Amino acid sequence: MTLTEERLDAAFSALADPTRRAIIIRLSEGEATVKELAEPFTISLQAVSKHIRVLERAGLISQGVDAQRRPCRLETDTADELVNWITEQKKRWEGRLDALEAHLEQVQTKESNG
Amino acid sequence: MSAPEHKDDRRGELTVSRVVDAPRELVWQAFTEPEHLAVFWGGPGISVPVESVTMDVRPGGSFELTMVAPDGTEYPNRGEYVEVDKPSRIVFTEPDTGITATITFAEVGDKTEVTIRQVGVPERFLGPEAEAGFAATFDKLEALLDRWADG
Repeated sequence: MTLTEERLDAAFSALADPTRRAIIIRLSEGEATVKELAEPFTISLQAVSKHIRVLERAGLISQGVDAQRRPCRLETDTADELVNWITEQKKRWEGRLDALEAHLEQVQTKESNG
Repeated sequence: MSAPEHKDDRRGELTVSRVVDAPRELVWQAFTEPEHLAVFWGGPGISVPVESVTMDVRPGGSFELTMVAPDGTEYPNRGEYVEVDKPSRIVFTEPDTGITATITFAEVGDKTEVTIRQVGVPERFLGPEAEAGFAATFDKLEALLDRWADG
């Protein structure tokens, strides 16, 4: 648990800042570039980059190697995977409901015509 | 996304809702009769052969069906009904995916609101690695975020 606790300490202190918490919350919705992350804030891109480096050092986020975009993402692999799975599940139900609506419409049209 | 919603994600909880333009009786039929279910259960692009569908719609009864992807890959689906309360509520579990889904049907005028509430996550999210990833870091991180969100 020591290593985890160490990580947690780093995480906690990194999260002592409201901008960094906002960045984490934003990234919980999906990856984003530094520019995208900076958009809601009135501070400079450089200042946001600095916050990102702090979060990265704390092991909370990572930055992609894609030279063009270098998107940031939450460094919680399992959580990411789970969120993706949930998104897929949600899509599956939405798809089912789309198909259900189409089917019900067809059934009712048939009924009123026959 | 708010912090509480994220907390729901961790339990694998999700809700999907839709008002469909059909009487409740018909919507109930669609979910409980193979010839209807087969038409929509796969969603767009995935077919369910009606002959693959067996359903014993009563508490403790089971259902089975096969979803066929566009490339022909077959995904068998099986589950068990936990609650069947005609015409307003069906609860089923899927041992393969670890989920429990509650489907409710509510009358909204002459339309029907279908709400699916799904809870549970697959086994692979519950292993030791997941424990380490989540239980330690995420739990506390989340508690922290919650506290800040409230304050």
